[in-house]
Amino acid sequence: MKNIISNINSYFFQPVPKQTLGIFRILVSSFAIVQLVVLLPDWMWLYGPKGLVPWNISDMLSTNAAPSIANIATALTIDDITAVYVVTIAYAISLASLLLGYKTRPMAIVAWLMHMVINTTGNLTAYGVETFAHISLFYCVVLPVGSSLSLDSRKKSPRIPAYLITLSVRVIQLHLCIMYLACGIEKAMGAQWWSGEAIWMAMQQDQFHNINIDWMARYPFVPKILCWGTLLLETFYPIGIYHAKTKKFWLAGIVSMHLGIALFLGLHLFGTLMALINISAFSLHCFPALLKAGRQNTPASRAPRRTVLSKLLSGLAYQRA
Amino acid sequence: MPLKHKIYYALAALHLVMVMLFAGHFAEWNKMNTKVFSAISNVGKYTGSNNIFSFFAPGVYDQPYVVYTVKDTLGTEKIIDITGRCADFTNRLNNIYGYLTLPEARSVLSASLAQTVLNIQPSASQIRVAMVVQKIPSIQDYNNGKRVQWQYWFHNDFQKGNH
Repeated sequence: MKNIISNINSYFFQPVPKQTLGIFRILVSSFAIVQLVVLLPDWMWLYGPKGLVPWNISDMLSTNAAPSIANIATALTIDDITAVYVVTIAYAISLASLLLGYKTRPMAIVAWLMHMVINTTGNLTAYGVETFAHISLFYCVVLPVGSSLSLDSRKKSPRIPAYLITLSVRVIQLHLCIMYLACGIEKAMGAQWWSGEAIWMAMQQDQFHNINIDWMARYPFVPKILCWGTLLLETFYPIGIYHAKTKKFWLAGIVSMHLGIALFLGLHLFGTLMALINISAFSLHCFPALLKAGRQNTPASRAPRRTVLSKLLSGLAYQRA
Repeated sequence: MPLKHKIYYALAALHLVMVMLFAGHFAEWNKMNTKVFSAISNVGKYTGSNNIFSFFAPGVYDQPYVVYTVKDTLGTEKIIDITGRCADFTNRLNNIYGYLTLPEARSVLSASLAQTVLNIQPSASQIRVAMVVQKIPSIQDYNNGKRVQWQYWFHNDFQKGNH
């Protein structure tokens, strides 16, 4: 019993690298900027007042009470198109600022709100990628993601206790654990994931048919292994990602799975975001050597080498003279 | 630890409990329509804790697709496909088509999509919005010679200025 309590204590209170939060902020905001650029050519189709699904129709079908671009237009007494531009520009600026870690918290609030406004407006077009972008931006609002690798962290600001950094990192990690466990259990309840048909069906669908997988019918063990692998990775994620002997394999496995989804199912944005969230939440936990390597490249750690180098050079100069 | 930080721990725990509950389909338990549930659900919308994670679960279903057939005043028919300029457009369009499987959304959404196509096809005077579903054979059926089929589901006809 004492062991369990001590393990829980160390899990929630033992310091973890605060760079985890900085990496999370940088990867999430970079992704959101890339997503914005990718969607920009069709922006008005997706979110404009007379887009694929006009605002009055999406409002009628929506069960979401969150604010939309139409509400912004009404509140600011501007026309609908101008409101789309205002929201988009505010979103882009806030994401750029979040990436740099400048005025991190207020900018995260703006980015999170604008993302919600945009996706309430285009709620019928939003899929899994928006769910996780929204969750990630919410974490950028409430967690001290500007405490590391940011312009804000260069200024003298009140020091955040290490245990709050630990709590923040654990919240992101546990959210992922809950999500994968739920995903794994729900998949395991379907016969398709045990027979291998799920991968076969998904990859045969016209919308995801990026590569020809007809050959899989001759080797049905291939989709079966892929399905079982997915079940294993997702259901046992909370154990595998924390166990010292399996954590590296699990992170590599789950990132590969998401990159596979991005490449083979054409869900580029969704797969990339999920891979990035996993990398940001667990890379320093699974590969602590990365942090040491990073530290060795700081100016302070380079200084002694410079001194040695300058001594050598001056010695050479002396010899030449 | 100051009280403020203890509150942070409590809020984090509450948030994760909500994530767990909603991931466990809390919203469907006994069809809760109470004010408390509504408040929790609204908080969840803002914090991202009200999501279920049923991606491709418990199985992968048939894919719905929409075929638009437009006819001009001379009676010439043409099949139109809605295409976007960005790579993710198709994923989002398919998401909209998914809503057409809901009977309550079908008429209004198909009318809206018809309007969209008529806007990009100014010469068209009539449009048929037909929903088809892609039926994927199982591996065993495929090996027995069965192939992918498109099955008709429903259609709605619209005329310009009449919906």
